[in-house]
Amino acid sequence: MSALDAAAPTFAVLERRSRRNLVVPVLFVLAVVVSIGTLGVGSYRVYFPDSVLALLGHGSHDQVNIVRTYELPRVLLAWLVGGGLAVSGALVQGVIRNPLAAPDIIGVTKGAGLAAVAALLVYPSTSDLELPLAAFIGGFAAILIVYVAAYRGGASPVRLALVGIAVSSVCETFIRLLLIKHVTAIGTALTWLTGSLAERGMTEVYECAIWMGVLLPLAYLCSRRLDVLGLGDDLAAGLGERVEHLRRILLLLGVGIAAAAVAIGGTILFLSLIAPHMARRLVGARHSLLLPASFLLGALLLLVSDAIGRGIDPPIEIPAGLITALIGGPYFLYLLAKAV
Amino acid sequence: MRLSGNGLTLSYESVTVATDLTLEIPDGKVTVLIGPNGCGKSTTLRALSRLLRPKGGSVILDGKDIHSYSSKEVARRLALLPQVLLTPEAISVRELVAYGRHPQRRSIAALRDEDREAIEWALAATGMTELGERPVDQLSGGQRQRAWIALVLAQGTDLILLDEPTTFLDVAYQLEVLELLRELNASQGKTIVMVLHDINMAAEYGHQLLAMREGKIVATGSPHEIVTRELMREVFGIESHILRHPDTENPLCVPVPVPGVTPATAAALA
Repeated sequence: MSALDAAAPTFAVLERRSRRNLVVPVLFVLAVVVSIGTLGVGSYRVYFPDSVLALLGHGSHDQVNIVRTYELPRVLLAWLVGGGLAVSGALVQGVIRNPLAAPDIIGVTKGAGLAAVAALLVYPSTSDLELPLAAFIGGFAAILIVYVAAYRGGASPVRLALVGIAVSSVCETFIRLLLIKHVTAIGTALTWLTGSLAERGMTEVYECAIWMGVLLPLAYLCSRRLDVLGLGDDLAAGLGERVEHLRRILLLLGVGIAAAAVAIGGTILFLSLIAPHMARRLVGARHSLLLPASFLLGALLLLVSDAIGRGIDPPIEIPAGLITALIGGPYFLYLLAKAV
Repeated sequence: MRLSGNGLTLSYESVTVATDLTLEIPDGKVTVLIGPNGCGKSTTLRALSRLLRPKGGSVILDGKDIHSYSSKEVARRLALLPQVLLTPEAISVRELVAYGRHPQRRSIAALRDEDREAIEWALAATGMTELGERPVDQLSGGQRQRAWIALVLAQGTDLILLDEPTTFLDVAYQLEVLELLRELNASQGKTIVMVLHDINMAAEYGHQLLAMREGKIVATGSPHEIVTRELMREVFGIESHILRHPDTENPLCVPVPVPGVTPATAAALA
């Protein structure tokens, strides 16, 4: 009897641990399957397996062209942008130590949005290459302002969140002001603000891949430092971390990843909040598992959202950002109801 | 003597908490900082562990200014258990204790054999081996505090600083934690420095007591030298009887009730 009692929790723990280690491979396979499955969805439907054959160069000229030029970049961008947003959310949540924090909250998303809208509306000649740059600069400017304003011998997580919300609101106000002043030309700006993967090509994929290829591995290298930071500032310092320095580096990484994602995909809301949160429920709080799981969940969510958006009523496209908001809003409410 | 403070002036931004503190931490002994709230004892501990850079004076660790070391180097010589600890969700005791090896590990390297040994030793020393796979958030107060102490032990340092390690615990758990620390000192020769609120616990478990008041060290000495009527009056502003513990002969401070010590409240209640 006592032996059984002692064994029972051990089994539960073993099961939990092996289940956790399975999450990342399972999510990866799932994301690959969904990528292939949704490859041909859209106004020119090319279904599996024709879509895969077309990707490999077999099929009609049109099919090959459509899949390679229009469909493939979207799927790849869903991985990069969705996964990137989710990882940046996990980083920011780790730094701010609040599962309800996200780049949306500390001002990055709105800052990037404001800069991009200003570029689009005030300088209509802005090229497709300059727009991501503007978004990037805007996101960084916002977090810089937030960090400096929150700094008082160190930037406490609570102050970062509060100042971030304030800066976000100010950015939002200016975005609206710009939209009102330039009513005739707001079409592109609105699409961008909603967040969408439409009309992106391989150029955007390469741009995004370079950023993510550098920043995501760097973030992964910081996994255990993120864990240690989660034990409290003083203990992290006692374990040899320069806490303020570390927080700055991690925020910068999170912002860089978010800005790279937003620059290409627009302000896709809620993804950076809910994907890491779901991941935490599946794999726990250790970042060596949490970051990869977040990436894959973010990719999955955006793949599905984008596929729904373009498949639900073709040829009309519903921006993926609207779908993520439709999924994310209720999930957010559920979180609030549970956590607060 | 590996750790000492020399003419320390400690402040948070513009608020000066302590001035001209000089203190020595004897090796292989248990040193306890006591004093009323806000006297600067936790701040002193932060300075001793390099968390706070003194405005004046210096903390000397192994013959050099503690700020001439990198924070990693300090973490390999001295471990700190702060008062405020955040328990991560869904993490086992063994996983928590493994973070004690953080200063010795490279960023994503797996645990080495010496890390594993240190972790298992720390679990055994704190009596947590059996609970190694238990989630930390399912432990009792005393068990949880022992898990945190195991984390600090896994760091493998001879110097251990603890900021009020018993504060949120019931008296039975307080004893559990303090007995563990005494045992670590006696059997492993660990040098222990801690802040305690309870004078009698300090007298029971400390070899050296540092009594602080308003940012100054009022007196340093053995429990019998510190726990006296005069010093209790000077340090805590209380009248007291000093008794002897029937078993251990250590001093016991029993405060004398002072009616009307808060005249406003007394008047309001009358």
